[in-house]
Order: sequence, then structure tokens, then C-alpha cells
Amino acid sequence: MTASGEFETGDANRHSGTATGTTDSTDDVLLKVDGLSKHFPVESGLFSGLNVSWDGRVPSVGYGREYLKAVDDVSFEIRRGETLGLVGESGCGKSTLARTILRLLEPSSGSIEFEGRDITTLGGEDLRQQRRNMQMVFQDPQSSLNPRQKIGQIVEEPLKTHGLLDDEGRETRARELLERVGLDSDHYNRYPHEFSGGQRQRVNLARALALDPDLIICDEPVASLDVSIQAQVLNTMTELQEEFGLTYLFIAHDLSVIRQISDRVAVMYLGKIVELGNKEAVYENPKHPYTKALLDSIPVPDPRKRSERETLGGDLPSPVNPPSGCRFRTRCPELIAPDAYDFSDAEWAALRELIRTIDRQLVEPSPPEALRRQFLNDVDLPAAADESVERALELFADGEPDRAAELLSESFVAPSVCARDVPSYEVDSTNGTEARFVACHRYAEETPTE
Amino acid sequence: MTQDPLLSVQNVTTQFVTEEGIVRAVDDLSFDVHRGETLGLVGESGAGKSVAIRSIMRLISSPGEIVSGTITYKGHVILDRSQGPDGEVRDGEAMLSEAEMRSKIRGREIALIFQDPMESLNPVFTIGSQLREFIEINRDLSNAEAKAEAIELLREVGIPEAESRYHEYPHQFSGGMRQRVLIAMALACKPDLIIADEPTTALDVTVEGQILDLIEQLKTEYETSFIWVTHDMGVVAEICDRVNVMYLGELIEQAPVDELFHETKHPYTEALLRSIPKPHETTGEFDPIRGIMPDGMNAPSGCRFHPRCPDAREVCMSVHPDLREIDDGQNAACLKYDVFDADYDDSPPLVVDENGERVPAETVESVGGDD
Repeated sequence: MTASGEFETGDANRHSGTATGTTDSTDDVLLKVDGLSKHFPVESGLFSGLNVSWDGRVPSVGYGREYLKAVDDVSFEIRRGETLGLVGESGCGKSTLARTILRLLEPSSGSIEFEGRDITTLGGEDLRQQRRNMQMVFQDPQSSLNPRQKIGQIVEEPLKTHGLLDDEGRETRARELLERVGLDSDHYNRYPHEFSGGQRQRVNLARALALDPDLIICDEPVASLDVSIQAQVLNTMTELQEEFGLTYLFIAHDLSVIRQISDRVAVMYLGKIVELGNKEAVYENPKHPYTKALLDSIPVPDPRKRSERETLGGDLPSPVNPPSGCRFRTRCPELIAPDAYDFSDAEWAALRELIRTIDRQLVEPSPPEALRRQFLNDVDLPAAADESVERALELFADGEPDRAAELLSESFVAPSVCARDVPSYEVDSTNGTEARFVACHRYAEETPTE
Repeated sequence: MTQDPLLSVQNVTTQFVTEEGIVRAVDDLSFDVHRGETLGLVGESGAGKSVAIRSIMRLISSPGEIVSGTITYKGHVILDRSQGPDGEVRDGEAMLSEAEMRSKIRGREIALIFQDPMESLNPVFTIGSQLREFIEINRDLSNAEAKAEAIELLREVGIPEAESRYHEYPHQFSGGMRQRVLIAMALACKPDLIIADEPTTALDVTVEGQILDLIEQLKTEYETSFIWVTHDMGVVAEICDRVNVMYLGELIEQAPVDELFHETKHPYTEALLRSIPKPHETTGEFDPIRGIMPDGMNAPSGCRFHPRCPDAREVCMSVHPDLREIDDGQNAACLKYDVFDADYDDSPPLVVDENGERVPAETVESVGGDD
């Protein structure tokens, strides 16, 4: 496969049979997304692309628009009847990905195939017809229902749009759908404000089901609901999936919810999928350091397990200028040491801590010796490395933290494979035989050779 | 803990008068907060958590009104109000005036942190100027001193490059960073009590982790007490020492955190704990609480949880349980315990009707053996 983040799970799966827990037709791919990207121009306007650089004596003027890479080269498949959980923190591009798949946003590049048919460039009536098979449920059940329409009208709307059934037929269908999603058929004549959040989300489900779609993309469908109501709605969604043979792309930031509802899980960070695999494998044996960090940071609902939570430091970098190579490298606790120096694990760990501390300016400017004592007390860095560290510490002490951080980054981070190459590997899963995708150079050697 | 509590809330009732009737959003609420402890206030939306903490700060405005109760804080009488037979409310003489609340209590002694940091910060002023102004007003420092203090506080809550970020606007900060600013603001007057209303609910899990770490660190540093309002039992388990569970305006269980999770007394708490999706095991299905939370206008008779309670019996429909001690330091309001002496054991169990609510067996014909 190419290094672009493309991967396939179908082959390995054919031998496993049971690994996914999906329907028996595991090879039946409903949706295939290949190298999909969505980039937004950062600012609009006539002069927004002008860049003036004051570096030299004469300011240099350039023209070139900056792009926010909300979704960048994402590939995956969803099989018929399964639930693919897509998890990631806010700003990682989950919702943009969902909207791009539905063609509510135009993809910048890549392709989307639905039942083997390329829908990337469909337009007009073809696209409208295609959308009958793909529906969406949004996060906020309040704002996604028109307050002036009755529940019945809301559920009938898609049928009307597509000119299906007559008035009477539509009403019968709407009432039936309301009952299927756990509401009462008498709710047909009520208004959204008469319902609780959980019930409103059921109305959304009924509307999504109206056209009998194959795929429902759910964007944080339960995030705004109370936990006890959340559970009710999720149970209904599972029942509906069995009843109507639905396929879900289930987007959430809540790892606990994703774990219970998904067959396979994709983890997204800063516009890219960093790990994808069978749910149990991803949760029980996370491979990507970001997946590990996410799982470790959930507070466990048990006071006896307090010490088990771990915190991921740092902030999400800007998607306009994402880090080179692996996008997680600026926060990664497992950043790989550059080959140029022969660091031991302890040396690299200590140095990495120092680099992060100076980069994030977590300490006050202090003399080099003090920082050495704090971070490098037990280690003896190789002479070449030590020289750079000393210079950086002096800069830091002189009140030039930015230059110090830059120097450290140039000396130790830039040469690392994590900063040089975009990672994309397919590795053997420890649970089951299904291959899984991990975007981390730590697993370069585990890639099965073909 | 033998010393006097830092904050003592006794029998506070707050109601809202609406066109359709009176809603008791907080009904006869009593609890203490001790020095250095973190008290969790847990419940679903509509339980009255936010009204409860706003009542403590006396920030209830029309159509809401605190109708009775006493609240004392370090010898200050924040509230001393009673309702006469004519329905008129009377305030005790020692109760602080509104002006005193503003100058002595709010911000200085008790600070509030809200859920949405964007709404609590003014988008047209820089982070620094808002923080500085707050410090200037509340601590009688000069402009320059307040600025230095503000930068120091920003640094303390973990904002990198505090000096340059001082001049930035709220929209230039991420959600986690904004929440840190609010924490800095809350800390500005070194209050002994910080009330946090779902401060991490809007944040991502990794950012939430950073904030929880920060709170932990500040707690050890300043010995600040917290009232932590949340619906997230994971966060409760992580940081709280004791927990109050609210349902429909009432406290239904009070317990030390370990007992709450491992020796749960009230059926609602039990159901709430069961309904959380578990992050560290696959259970495959969800175990929701039946029915929906009734609105405060039509609170069920007897025990307010009885229409949804798996342990409900007929007696629960008529007898209203108050909070009583079930075990050492653990209180619950549930008639199934002997201390209530309510003939619970002899009362016939309720059954589930077609709406998922619990009702007496004779009102439902041919029940399909649910539970």
C-alpha cells in the first residue's frame, strides 16, 4: 500500500470470520473513503492571501492562501451492518469528515464510494437520489428540529422532498416510525417543545429512518443528553440497527459510549485517522500513543482507582500549520529518539521532558545548572548532544525561551523519524487475526511483509 | 472533622413562580462543607444543582425566590430567612445585605466557576484586563501591582507565555485555556471556598484531565474547599471526598465517595451508577433508568423517585422520605431502610405500566411480568 494512509482490512478479515462481530457478510463494503481531504481557505477576501515578510531589509511580499486542513488524507471502509465508531477530541475534524462524506461539503481531494459507486462528483438529481441512502442525525436535538413544525410534518419531510407516498401513506408511515423509535403514534400532532431532549433525539431518528436508508451518520447523537437518557437512546439505536439492517458511522468524543456501541473504532487526531481496528483490540491493546493517552485520561467511575488516570500534556496544534511527519509528535510521550545520537532510553526520556518543558515554558527562566539538576541529574548525555543542550539552556536563562525551544527542536526533534515521515502502518492485531491500521513509527517493524 | 464546618446550609428552599404554578427547584436542602474538602453535588439536568449553588451565593433573581433556610459561612450569616403563615418571607437581622454579599462574600470568600468559559469572559476585553480589573476591585491593589499579580496567576494555572497571552482576547484561547483563566480569576482573592458548576463538562477528556490535575495541585497548595457540581460520576470518583446526590430538587443520598460507589444506599444512585457506559470494559448494552425525570411542577407524591424506582412499593407513593442516617456518615432518603419504620416490607411492590412508570398492581390489567 502507499504511504498515504491507505489500508485495507478486507483480506485479513476473510480468514477470521468472527473478529468483527458484525453480520456474516464481512466483506460487503457499504462505504469506502479513500484519501479524502477537506481543506478550508483560512480567510477570504481580496488581500487575504498576501503575505508580507519583514525578515530582510526590504519586506518581501508573497501571495499564497493558507489552508486549514480539517480532514487530511483519510481512508477507511464501513461494512454493511456494522457500526464504525469515530472518536476524537473537538477540532479533530470528525464532523467535517461526516459532512464531507454526505457531500454537504465538497471534498478537496480523494474519493467516496457508496456500494461500489463513486459519489465524489455526483451532482444534481443523482446526488439527491443518492442521499436517500445516507441520512444524518445531529448532536443538538433542539436546533435540528423546526420549532414551528409538528412532529408528524418533521418526520414526513424527507418523504415529501423525495415525492414518496401520498398524504395518507406518509402519515401512516410517520406514525409507524414514531412507534418504532420508542415514541407514541399520538405524538404525531405535537410540537418539538413538548418533548424532552431524549425524545427529540428519537424524533430525529424517526426522520432519518423515513427513507429507509442504508447508512446513518450520527454526529454526537447523545452528547447533549443526560446519562440515563443517553442509555435509553443508545439502546433504541442498537435495536433499530438490527431491525432495519442499518449501518452506522457513529461519531462521538465519549470513549465509553463508542466502546459499547461500535464494532470497529477509528481514532482521529488533527484531521487524520491515527488508529483503526476492531473495537476490543483498540480498547484492550491500544497501539497508537494518542489512543493510549485518550484511554488513560478518562476518569474511572470508581474512587478506588483514582491513581490510574494519566494526563496528556500540551495543546492541540493548529490545523493550519500541522506538525510535519506525525501530527501527534508535539505531545507524544513516545517520541522516537533521533538516530544521530546514541541515546539510551533514560537519556532520551529525560531530554524529551526538558525539551517539552522549555517549549511550553512551564518553568521560569533559571540558570542552566538548576534546570540540569531538575531534568538531567541522573543522565550523561553524549558530548555532541550536550553541547546543544547547554547552548539552549543558556538562551533560556537569558530570557530567550523561544530561541531556546527552537534550538532544541532543530537539534533533537527535527531529525527524528516522527518529524520526517508521515507514519502509516498496517500491523497484526493481538486480538483476532484482523489487521489494523496504526499511524505511528513505533510499529514500522511490525508491518507484515507481503 | 470536629471543627465547625466552613459552610453550613440548612433547610434551604428556593422556588420559582410561573404561570402554570410554583416549582420548588430546591426543596429543604441541608449540607455542610468542611475545610479543605471537595464536596460533589451530583444529579441529572433538572435536579436543581445549579439553583442550589446560586442560592448559596444568593444569586437567585425573579421569578425565583429563596423562601426559607439558613446559610452560614465562617460566622457570616449569608441567609436567614423564614416564611410566615401568611406566605411572607422574613429575614433575620444578622443576614448580610446585598451590598455586603457583594463586598465581602462573592469572589472574595466564595468564588464561582461556570461551565461555559466563553460566556463568563467578555469577548471585547483582553484576558489580562479582565483579570486585572477583578483583582484591582477586590484586593485594593494599584493598577501595576494588579497586572503583575494577574500574570503571576496566569502562570500558576499553567498558561504558557503568560506575559504575552495577558494581552490576548478570549477567542484566542482554547476552551481549556479559558477555563484556566476562570480558575485564575476564582483564585485571585484566595477564597476559602470555590463553587464549580460543571467546569469540565464542555471540555475534551485530555483537557479535562489537565484541569483536574491543576485543581488537585491547587487544593494541596491553598487548602481550598470545593463544591463540585457535575453529572459525571467519573469526575466525582476522581476528585470528591464526599458526595451529595440530588433528584428533583431534593438530596436523596449523602455519603463519603467510597461508600457512594461501593455501598450505594439509594436506588436512584444505584441506577445512575449502572447507567454509565463503562470505559474500561465492554458490556454490550446500556442499563438506562426507566422513564424520564418528571418536571418540578408535577413532582410525584411520596418519594419523588417512585415512578422510576425498581424497589418501589405502594407505601412509596404516599410517604415522603426525608434524609436519614443509614450507616455511619451515610444518609439516604429511601423507605426501604428500617430507620423509616414505614412498613415497607409489608407493602405490595409497584408494577410497570405501559408508559414504563411504576403504579399499583390493581391499576394495571394483565401485566407482562416485567422484572
